[in-house]
Amino acid sequence: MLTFIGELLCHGSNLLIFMIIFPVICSILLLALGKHKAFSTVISGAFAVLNLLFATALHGYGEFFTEIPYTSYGFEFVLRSYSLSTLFLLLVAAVFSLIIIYILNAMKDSGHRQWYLFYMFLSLGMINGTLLSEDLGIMLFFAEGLLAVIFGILLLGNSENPKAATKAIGTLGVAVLTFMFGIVLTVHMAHTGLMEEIQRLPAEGENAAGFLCIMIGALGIAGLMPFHGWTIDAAEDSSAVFTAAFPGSLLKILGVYISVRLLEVYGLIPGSNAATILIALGALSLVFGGAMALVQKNMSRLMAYISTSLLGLIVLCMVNGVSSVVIVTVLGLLILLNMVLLFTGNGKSGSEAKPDFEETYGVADKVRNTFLLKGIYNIADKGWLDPYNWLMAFIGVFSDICTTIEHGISWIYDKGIPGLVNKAGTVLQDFNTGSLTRYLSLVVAGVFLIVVIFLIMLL
Amino acid sequence: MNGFILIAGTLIPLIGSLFLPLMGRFNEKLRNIMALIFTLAALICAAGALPGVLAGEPYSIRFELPLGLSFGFYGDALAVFMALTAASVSSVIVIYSYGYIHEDNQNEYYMMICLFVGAMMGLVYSTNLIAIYIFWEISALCCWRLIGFYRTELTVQRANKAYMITVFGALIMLIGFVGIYGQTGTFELTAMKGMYIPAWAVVLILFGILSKSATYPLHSWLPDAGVAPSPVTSLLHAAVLVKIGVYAYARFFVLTFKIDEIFTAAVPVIAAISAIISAGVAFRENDIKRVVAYSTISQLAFILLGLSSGTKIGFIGGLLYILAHSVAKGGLFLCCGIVEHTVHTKDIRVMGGLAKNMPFTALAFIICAFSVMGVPPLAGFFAKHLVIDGIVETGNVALGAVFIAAAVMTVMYLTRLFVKVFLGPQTFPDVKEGSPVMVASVMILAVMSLLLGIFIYWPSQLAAIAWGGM
Amino acid sequence: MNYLDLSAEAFLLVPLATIIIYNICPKKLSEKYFYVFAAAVAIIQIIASVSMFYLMNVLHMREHNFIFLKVLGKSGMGSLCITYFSPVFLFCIGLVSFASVMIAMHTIDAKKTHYVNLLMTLITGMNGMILVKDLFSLYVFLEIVGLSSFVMIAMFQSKKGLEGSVKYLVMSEFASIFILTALALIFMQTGSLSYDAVGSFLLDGAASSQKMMIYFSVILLISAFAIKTGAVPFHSWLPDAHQSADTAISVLLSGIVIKIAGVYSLIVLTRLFSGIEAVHVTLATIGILSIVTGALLAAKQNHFKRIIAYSSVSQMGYILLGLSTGTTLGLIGSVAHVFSHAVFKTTLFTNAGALHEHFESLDINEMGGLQSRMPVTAFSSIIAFLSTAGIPPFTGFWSKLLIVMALWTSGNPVMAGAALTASIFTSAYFLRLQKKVFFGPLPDRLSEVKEVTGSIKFIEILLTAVTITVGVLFPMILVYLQNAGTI
Repeated sequence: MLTFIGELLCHGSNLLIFMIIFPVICSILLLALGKHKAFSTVISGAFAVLNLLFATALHGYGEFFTEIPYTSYGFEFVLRSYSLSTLFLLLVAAVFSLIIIYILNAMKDSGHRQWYLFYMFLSLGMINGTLLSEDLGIMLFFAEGLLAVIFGILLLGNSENPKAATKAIGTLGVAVLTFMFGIVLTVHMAHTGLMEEIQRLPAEGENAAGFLCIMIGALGIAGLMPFHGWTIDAAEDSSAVFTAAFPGSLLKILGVYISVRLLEVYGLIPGSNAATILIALGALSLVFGGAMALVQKNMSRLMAYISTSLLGLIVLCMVNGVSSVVIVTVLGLLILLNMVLLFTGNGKSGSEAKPDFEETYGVADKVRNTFLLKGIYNIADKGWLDPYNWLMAFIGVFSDICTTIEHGISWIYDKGIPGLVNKAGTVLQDFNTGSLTRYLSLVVAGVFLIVVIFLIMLL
Repeated sequence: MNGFILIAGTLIPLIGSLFLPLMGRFNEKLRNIMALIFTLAALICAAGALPGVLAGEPYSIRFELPLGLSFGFYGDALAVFMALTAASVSSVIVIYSYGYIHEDNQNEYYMMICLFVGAMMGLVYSTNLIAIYIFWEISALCCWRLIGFYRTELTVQRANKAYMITVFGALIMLIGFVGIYGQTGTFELTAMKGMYIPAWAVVLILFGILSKSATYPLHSWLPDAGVAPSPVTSLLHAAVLVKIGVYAYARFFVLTFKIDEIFTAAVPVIAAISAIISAGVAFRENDIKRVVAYSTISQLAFILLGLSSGTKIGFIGGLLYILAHSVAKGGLFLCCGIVEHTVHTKDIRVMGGLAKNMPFTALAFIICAFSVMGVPPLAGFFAKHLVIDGIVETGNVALGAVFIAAAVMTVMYLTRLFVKVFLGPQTFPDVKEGSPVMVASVMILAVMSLLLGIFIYWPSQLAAIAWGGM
Repeated sequence: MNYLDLSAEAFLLVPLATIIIYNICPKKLSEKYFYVFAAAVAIIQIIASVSMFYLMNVLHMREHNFIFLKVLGKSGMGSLCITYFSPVFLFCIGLVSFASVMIAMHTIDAKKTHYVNLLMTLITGMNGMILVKDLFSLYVFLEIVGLSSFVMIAMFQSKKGLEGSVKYLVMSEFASIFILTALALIFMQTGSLSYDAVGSFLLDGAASSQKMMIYFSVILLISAFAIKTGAVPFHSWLPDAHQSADTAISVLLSGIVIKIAGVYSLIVLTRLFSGIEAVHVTLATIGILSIVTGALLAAKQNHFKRIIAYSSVSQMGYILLGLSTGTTLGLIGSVAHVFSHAVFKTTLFTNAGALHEHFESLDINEMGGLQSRMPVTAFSSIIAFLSTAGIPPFTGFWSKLLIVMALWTSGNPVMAGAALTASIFTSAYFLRLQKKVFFGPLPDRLSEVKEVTGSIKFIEILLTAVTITVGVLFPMILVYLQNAGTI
């Protein structure tokens, strides 16, 4: 038995699979038996530590490849760990451990504890999977699963007010599907999904669409503008630990990792349209996030905006080729901020969140009331600067157009065609009155018709 | 010898259904059990045909007839794939019916359901155009009787509408078949393999396909058919009957005939229009079954896209989509049925907070909805991805973008539906979960969606073999 | 004596003999058991025609010439002939007569003896039409048929009065005038009216003026037979006649009379004048007109029997289209459709008879949701409807398919397409009928309606069984025909 375990462990490539499977197993265990506080504490703690150990081991050991068979046609389930991915794995493991510690401590008496742990471990498996994926399709497979997890968490205790969850799944849905489209285009251009094998694709011309889709998609999952809105609402309605964990840390890590890798796959050409767009989005996030952060009085919302802003900064760095050390530092800073505020806060969300900056930080009001910015902040408060609302409005108009078309088609089937047939029948019926003379005249007409046919045929 | 398993798979439900009303006169329970047994028999026979497919020598049997009417049963990968999908979902729906159907006319109901399953089996195994037409129309007959099950003014009117549109399409398709006969002298598909048929014949046959699979502009009957009992809507208008059209597309234009290149460009466009407009309408509808019905129209367009793209990966995606969609959409409609049965309304504007009343139904609903949205690890994810892969591989990026937009809309309207019905403040505090039989059925389908996603390898291999039958 | 000759002669002898026997019997007995006599004749006819069909196929005979009563043969008269498709017509006559008798048991109370006598003359007339080999005898028997049917319509009428029967008589007379004129013209050119002589006349190269005369007479003949068939625009008498007559008579009228008097005559015409392309075009034109007009008008009627009458007009159109191809396949298709139509139309009229028990006026707006109260009637009406609409696997589908295949392969794809497309109208009016009568909510005032019993129920079930069986086994019939060398 020991030799078996030893062999299993020695085959370093199996570690890759473990990093995905073990969290999932843990989550299933927690789902089944998590009611017992002691059990859940022990199991969660154990698996969190295990995850950390594995991540460290992988980081130390170097590069591993593995391929899992028995997946769908058209997908190559290839996992790989190398310096970059293991670094991020470690980062995730660290953050995750902190989150688990927080949950185990602060949510001792909450009824949702079991569910939070379940979702956290499930998402850990998915995030590890995303970081370890070598194939773009599989990366999407893991990343998209987070949609369900986030939806689930945001509904905990919130089923009467599902606005945050709805907005989350809507925004993330768009982001993920854009990401998917980008992946499909990339694979189409490169004829393979394995990132290592893709020749450096220049991000211009016909590749530009694929590049933009995939980058914007990935960064959108992370929470770059214009995909940031749901994080604010989630901060408002959900618990602080969610905001710190997902939009604050884990999703950002994911997004940054994917972007960095994709910038290796694609060759970003400075000054091209694609680069310009990315710079614009990054700058927008930086400025807008910062501006909104200044006027927040609520800790969670403040964190959400700061995260958006810092992500924008990271994107600017990436696009301009700044060294990855800087990028990771900024990322680390972001995570640190999130963790600090999580641990020092009271863990509540929305208006109950502490510390509350109303008393201690009057700058918010001063900034808000500044002459030029007052109008903008008013507009922002009304939700007019929220791209999600624009999207919803657009979808609303589009749906109304479709409904009108549909009503038209239904009318044709329900009233138009039957009416036509009815009319034809009525016309014929008028010919067919009951009088005998009418009948005989029809006979004569018939004979005449036959004569005409014969004449035509014989001449 | 082995072809007999195909005949058994068709005839047991087909002939057996005729005895169900007789049994029903004596003992209702017996009739219900026998209905399930007949459907399971179809499933077992389909599974029994699998070894032949995997060995590369499909089971078949043939009968000689004059006038090009020689027909036979041929259990190739495509046929067995469709048969397994249809039979498995049908079995679950029969179980669900035990808990749902309590009104009069139950004899006719079970007879029609079984007859329909038999007709579906016959349709997928048949090698002759006229035989396919015969089973096609038998399914239209079943559809007509089943939609009008409640025997009210409105339901009968809707049943007539569905009948008229699908039979009209089928008649036009028959003209196409006779045209092919006029050109080649036979109706047999195995004899015509690889033959070229002219564009007008393809257009005529497309009428039948588009009407049966509810694609614009011949789709109008499907949302209206929601007046039928929910198991009927689930079986006919989500899981099985609407797949007949796309199956016919795969059988005729991918695996048998050669057609003009223009159709590889035109049919995806028709599919795109269908997908996006129905998605838009689904977002605005307020009747729970109509939303899901428009969703079905939209998803069928995805399937048609995959099959018509002309690529291997698109074709496999299309077949996997048929599988994933049948299970998931069937489950969604059954959940709608449970909701409808307990709150006695179909208007989502008056519903809310039902997740607290019926947690299992809500869970099954969201899992099935995720499968339709394409969230991994459910089966729908792979299907959607492969279908988009397929269309992009032909170089048509714009259509791919349209379908991504349709996918976004899918997420939107399904989320809207779930939120309006199951979340939010409770409007019906007193209602309880549906009957155990019904809840068990929807949970089975939800679990199937999940398992199919995890073990997607095997269906995708079968689909790959189906492509190889070219 | 040769069995073939025996059964062939039976077609004419049996009805005549029955008349004699029937009238000899004491009044009380014949009134009470009138249906026994009539049904016996019908059954004998059925058996004889089936055995005829079988024998002819086994012996690979396409034609069987025989002399009726050796006596007549010595004087050069009485030569008759059965072709390979005649047994089907003869079978239909038998079956529909049987159905009529079954209905008459229920609906006819008075003048039962007259019914039997008239039915016998009608059968004699129709059999005669099928057996003869020259045009004049055809005309004679046609008149017998016409007269018998007129008397039957007038005598056993529903409350609508004599109006329908008078119209039928007048139109019939017009047809007769046309036929006689045409026959006279033909006789002037050819000197003989036998099928062989007339058929070979045109082929032997006639002068142009003679050809004109022939064409003119053909036009008259087509018109006359079209009146008899009830094809558009010669159809106007049909709905009124059906509505006026008692159900047992309507069954005969729509089930066989229009087909024998009309369709069979047109078959003779097309075989005689197969060289004239204009005949085919004419038949196709009135065929497609009939299909569409009949269906459109049927959708607007409110009287159950009128709907069915217009349905007959529509179905005759299909048969004419089949004939218009001029090919064997087309002929087989038409003959098959004659059979299918006989069966499903009779079923529908039987349903009318069943409904008549409760609804004197047969107004469909008064009915509704009757399936729960009259399940057998409803079921048979659904099967009949599906067969009419051409839905597989019933007989109507196969016959329509054969006709369409024949149309396409003979070079007329547009007509084939039009015929199939127009089928949707058939479905339309039948769906309306079903919705209004059977397939809907049951109003309270109708909750006491009971299912019909006895002979009507029996015949409904029998006819439905025939439709289903023949439909499902139709491929086997095709194999049989192929082995027999017919197709």
